[in-house]
Amino acid sequence: MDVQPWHNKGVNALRFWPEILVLVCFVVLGTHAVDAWREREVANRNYRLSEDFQYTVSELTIATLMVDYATTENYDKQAQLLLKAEDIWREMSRKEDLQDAWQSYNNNVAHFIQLASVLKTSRRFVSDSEREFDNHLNSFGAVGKPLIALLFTFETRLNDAIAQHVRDYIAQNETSLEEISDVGMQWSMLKLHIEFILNNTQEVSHLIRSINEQPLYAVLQQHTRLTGEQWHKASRHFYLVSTLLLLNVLAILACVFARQAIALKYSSRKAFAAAEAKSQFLANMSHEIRTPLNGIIGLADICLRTPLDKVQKGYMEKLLFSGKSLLTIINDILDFSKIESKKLDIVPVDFEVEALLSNIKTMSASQASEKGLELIFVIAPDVPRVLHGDNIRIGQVLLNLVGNAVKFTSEGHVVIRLEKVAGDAGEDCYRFSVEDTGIGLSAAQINKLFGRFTQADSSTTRKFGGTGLGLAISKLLVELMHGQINVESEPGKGSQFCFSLPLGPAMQTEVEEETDFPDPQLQGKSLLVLEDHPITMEVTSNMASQLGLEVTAVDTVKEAAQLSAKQHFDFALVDWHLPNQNGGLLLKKWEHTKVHPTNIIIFTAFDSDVFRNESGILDKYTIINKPILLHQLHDAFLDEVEDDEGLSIVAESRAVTSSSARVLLVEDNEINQMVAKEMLVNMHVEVDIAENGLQAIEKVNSNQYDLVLMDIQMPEMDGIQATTKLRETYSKDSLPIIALTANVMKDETEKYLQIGMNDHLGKPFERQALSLIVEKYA
Amino acid sequence: MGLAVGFLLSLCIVIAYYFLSYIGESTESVKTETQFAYTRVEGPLQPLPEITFINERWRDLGKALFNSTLLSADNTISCASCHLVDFGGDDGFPVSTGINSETGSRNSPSVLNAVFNVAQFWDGRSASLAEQVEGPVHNPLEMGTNWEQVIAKLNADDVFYNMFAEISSNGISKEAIVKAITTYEESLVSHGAPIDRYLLGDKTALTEQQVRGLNKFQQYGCVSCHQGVNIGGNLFQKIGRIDAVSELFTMDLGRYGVTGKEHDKYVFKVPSLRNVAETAPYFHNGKVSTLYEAIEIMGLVQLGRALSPEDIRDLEALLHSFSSPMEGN
Repeated sequence: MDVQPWHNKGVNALRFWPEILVLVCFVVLGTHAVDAWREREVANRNYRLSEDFQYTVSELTIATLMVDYATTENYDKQAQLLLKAEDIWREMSRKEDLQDAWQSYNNNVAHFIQLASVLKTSRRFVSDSEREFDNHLNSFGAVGKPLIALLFTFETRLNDAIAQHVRDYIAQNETSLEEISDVGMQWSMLKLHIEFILNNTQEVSHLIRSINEQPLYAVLQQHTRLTGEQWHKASRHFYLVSTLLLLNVLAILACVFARQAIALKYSSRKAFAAAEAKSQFLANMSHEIRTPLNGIIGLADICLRTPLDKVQKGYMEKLLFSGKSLLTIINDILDFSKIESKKLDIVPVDFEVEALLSNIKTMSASQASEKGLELIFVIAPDVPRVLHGDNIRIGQVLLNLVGNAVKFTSEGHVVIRLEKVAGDAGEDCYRFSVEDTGIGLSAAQINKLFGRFTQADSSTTRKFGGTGLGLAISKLLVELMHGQINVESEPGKGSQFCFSLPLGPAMQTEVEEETDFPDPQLQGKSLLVLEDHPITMEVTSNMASQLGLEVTAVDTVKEAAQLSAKQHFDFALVDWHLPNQNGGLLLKKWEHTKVHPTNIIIFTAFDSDVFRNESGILDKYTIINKPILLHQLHDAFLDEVEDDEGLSIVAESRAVTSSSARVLLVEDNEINQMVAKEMLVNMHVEVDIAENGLQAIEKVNSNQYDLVLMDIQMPEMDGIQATTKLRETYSKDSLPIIALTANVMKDETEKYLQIGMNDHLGKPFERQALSLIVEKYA
Repeated sequence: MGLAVGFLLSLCIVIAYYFLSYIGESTESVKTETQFAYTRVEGPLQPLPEITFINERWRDLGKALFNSTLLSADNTISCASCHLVDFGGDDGFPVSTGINSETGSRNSPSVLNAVFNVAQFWDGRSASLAEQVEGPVHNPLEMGTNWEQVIAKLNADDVFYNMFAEISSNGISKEAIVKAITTYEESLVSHGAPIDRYLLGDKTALTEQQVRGLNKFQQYGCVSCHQGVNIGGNLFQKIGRIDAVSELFTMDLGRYGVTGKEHDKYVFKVPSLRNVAETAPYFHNGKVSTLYEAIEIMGLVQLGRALSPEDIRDLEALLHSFSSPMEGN
C-alpha cells in the first residue's frame, strides 16, 4: 500500500495552496465587498438627497412665486423651505454639476424676494393714496386719480412708453399732486413709491420668468437620474461581489470537507494496511507453528502404531492429545482474527443434517464415552433431511458447544437437540441446543461468557484448559449466519446452550429417493429395547416407532430376560453398558436359553475396540455406536433383515487398497517428509520424495505419478512456481497436484486452486484426511 | 485547525478594512438632533416653536464651550463675550471687541433664536449655525485662532477632555465642537414674549398701544420684511430700497461682498426683531442707538413713509412686546 505521509516541512506550505488561494480570494473579495457596500451606501444617499432636493426646490419655487400674491406669511414658509434646501445642499456630495445652477437660482430667488416685498409695500402705499384721491376728487384727487389709473395700466402692460407717460404726467401735475400732503400723506414719499414701481415692476416680472425658466430644474432632474443610475449600478456591483464572496465561503467549506475526506481516506488506508499486516502476520505465524506441529502430531500418530509397552503408549497418546489441543488453540485464534477482520465468509451449501451430526459424533463420542457420559442426539421429526447453510461453521459451533459440555460434565448426559422453530420474521429457523448435566454457570458468569478470552471462571482455565475463545468465536459465527446464541444455566445443575439459525430448505431438488418412514419392511415387527438411561431409551424408542416397529422398552437385564422369555421379539436392541450389569450378561443368557429375539443389535458408547477382548461378540452381533441416528438405526435393522445369518460386522476400517498408486511427495522439511511418508506407506502407497520444486519437476518428467503432494514454501523453487511449470505440460486430470500447506488463509488456498492445483491439504494433516485425498485422486 | 485560523485572520482583515474605510471621513456628523414643533397662526407673525427634543449632553457641552475662552487665541474672549444670552444675545456695543482689543466691523447680532434665521451674519455668508461657528473662531479681529489650536487646548483641559470623551465618538474634533455649540445655540429660543402669548390667543398680552402698533406694523408694510417666527431674519433686503440712506450706512457693501452681484450692494439680512428692545445699538454698524430713531429711519428708507411721532411710539411699544427674558439659560 502506497501511503506516504508528508514529512517534509518545506512542502507543507505548498501543500495548502488551495486554502491559501481561497483565503487570499476571501480577503480580496471581502475588502472589495466592503468598498462596494460603502459605494452603494453613498450612492443611495446621494440619490435620496437628490430626490429630496429636487422636491424641495420645486416647493421652494412655488412658495417664492406665491409671495407676490398670497399673504405675507408665505415669506416665512419660503424662508423655511430655503433653509431646508440649504440643509440638503450641505448634505449632498458630488454636486459640482449643480453648483452654478443652484447659485443662479438662489440669487434670482433672493433678488426677487427683496423686490417683491418692497413692491408690495409700494403698492399698498399707492392704494392708500388712491383712497385719499377718491376723498378729494374736487381738489387734488382729480389729478391724482388719472395718475393711479395710468400706473395700473403700466402694471398690466409693462411698457416703457407708459412708464414715460407716467413720469411726464407727474412732471406736468406735480404742483397739484403735492396737495396730498395736506391730508397727512407725503407727496415726496408717494413719488418715491411710484418711481419704485416704475423701475422695478418690469424687473420683478422678468425675475418671475427667470425663476420659472431656471436651468436648475433640468440639471437637477438630470442629476437625480444620474445618481439613481449610479445607485443601481453600485447595487448591482455590490450584489455581484457579495455573490462571489458567498461562493468563496462555500469554496472554503469545500476545502475543509476535502481535507477531511483526504485525512479520512489516509487514515482508513493506514488502518487497512495495518489490518492487512496483522492478518499477514497471523498467516505467517500459523504457518510457522503448524509446520513443527505437523511433525509432532504426525510422529506421535505413527509412533502409536508401532509396538509399544503400556507406559510408552500412554505417553504417546498424551503427546498426541497435547499436539491436537495446541492445534485447536491455533485454529481458534486464527478463526477469531479472521472473523474480526471480516475475512471469514459464510458459504451456504446443501448439507445432510445427519451427516453433520455424524461428524459431531465422530469427533466427540469417544471423549464422552471415556468420561462415561451419555451423548444423545434428538432430531425433531419435522426437520428436513437436507438443509441449506454453512455446514462447516455450524459444525464448528456445535462441536465447540458439545466439546464444552463434555469437558465440564463429569457424569450424566449431554443431549444435542435439533428442532424447527419460527423466526422473528416468520422464516424457518432451526434451533440447536446442547444440554448437559455439568457444573453449570452462575448469572454473573453467563454475562461475560461470550466475551473474548474469558471463561466462566479463570480458575476453570487451570482445571479444564482452553483458550476461552471458543464461545466468542461461536457467538461471532452464529451472528455472521444471522442467528442468535444464548445460554440457560444453573450452577450445579447443568447448562443449556442454544443457537438458532435461519436455514433455508435444500436448494437442489433431491435426486435420491427420500426413504419414507415407517419402512414397510419393518412395519409391524416387534422390538425389545434394553436401555437404562431414560432419555436414550425414550429417544431410541421414538426412532424405532418412527421406523414402524412396535417397541417395548425395559431398563434392566432381568426384565429383558423375563419379557423375552414370555414373548418373541423380532429385534432386540441391547445397551452394552448398564449399571451393575453388562449387556453381555443378557446375551449370554439368551445364547444359553436359545430363546431370544431373532435379531440382536448391541448399541454402545464404547469404541468397538472394547469388544476385542470380549470373545466372539464382534463376530456375532451388529454393533452400533451411540448416539444413534435414525438412518443408522434404520440401516442396522435392514442389514439384519437382509442378512439371513443375522450377524454381520460393520467394517471399521476403510483402508485404502490402492496398492498400485504411486505418489510424489514434495517436501523440504525432513520431519514432515517422514510423517507423510509413513502415513502413505501405511496406506500401501508407493512414495517418492522430492525436496524442492526443481527436483519435483525432474521426477515428474522421468517417472509416472498418480498424485503429487506439493509443499508450498520450499527453497530453490517453491510449490507455486513448480505447479505453474508442471501445468504447462500436465493437465489437471492427468496429474493431480495437491497443495500441502500450513497456510490456511482462504485467499491463499484460493490462489493455489487458481494456479492449477486440484485441492489442498492443511498442515498438520491427519491420517484420515490424507487417506481421503489419496483415495479421491490416486 | 490551520484553515480555521486562516479564515478568522482573513475575516479580521476584512472587518478591519471595513472600519478603516470610515476613518478617512468624519465620524461625527455636525448635524444636531434638535427638533422643533411649529404652531401656525393666521397672519404674518408666527409664535416661536417649542423644542420637542434636544440632546442635553451636547447642549451642556456646547454651553461650556460657548463660555470658554479657550476658543480664542490668547484665552481672553469666549463666544459669550459678545453674545450675552441674558441681555438679548448681544453685547450692547456698536461693534464688538475681539482679542487684542481689536474691534470688528459690524454690530454683533443676537444669538437668541438664531437657529430660525435663514442665514447667519449680517451678509448671510453662512447658511447655518454650524457653518457660522467657524467664522468668529478664525476671524483675526474676533477670536483669531484655528481648530488645531483650539483642539490642542481643549485636549489639555481635563474637564473638556472628559466631557468630550463621554459623548463624542471620536473625542475632541472640529465636528464635535461645532455640534456642541450648535446644539447649545439651538436651545437658545426666547419663549414667553408677550407677542407670542398674544399670537397664541392671549388677547390681554398686549397693551392697547401695542395692539395699535401691531396694526400699523402690518398696515405700513413692516411685515413685508419682518415676519415669520423670528419677525425677520428670513430674507435679505437692501437698506434704503425706497429712499436713499445717509452715507453712514453705505460704507458697507453688505451681501455684495459675498455674491459680487451688483444688485446685492447694500443688501443685508433682515435682522430678527425679537428682543430688539434689548439689542441696542441698531443696524449693521450699530450707528443708531435708540429704537425711536431706528423706526423712523426704517419708515423712511424702507417703507417710503414719514412716520408720525405717534406712529413711531406705537411701533416702539410693539417692539417691546417682542422681548422675552431668557429663562433657564
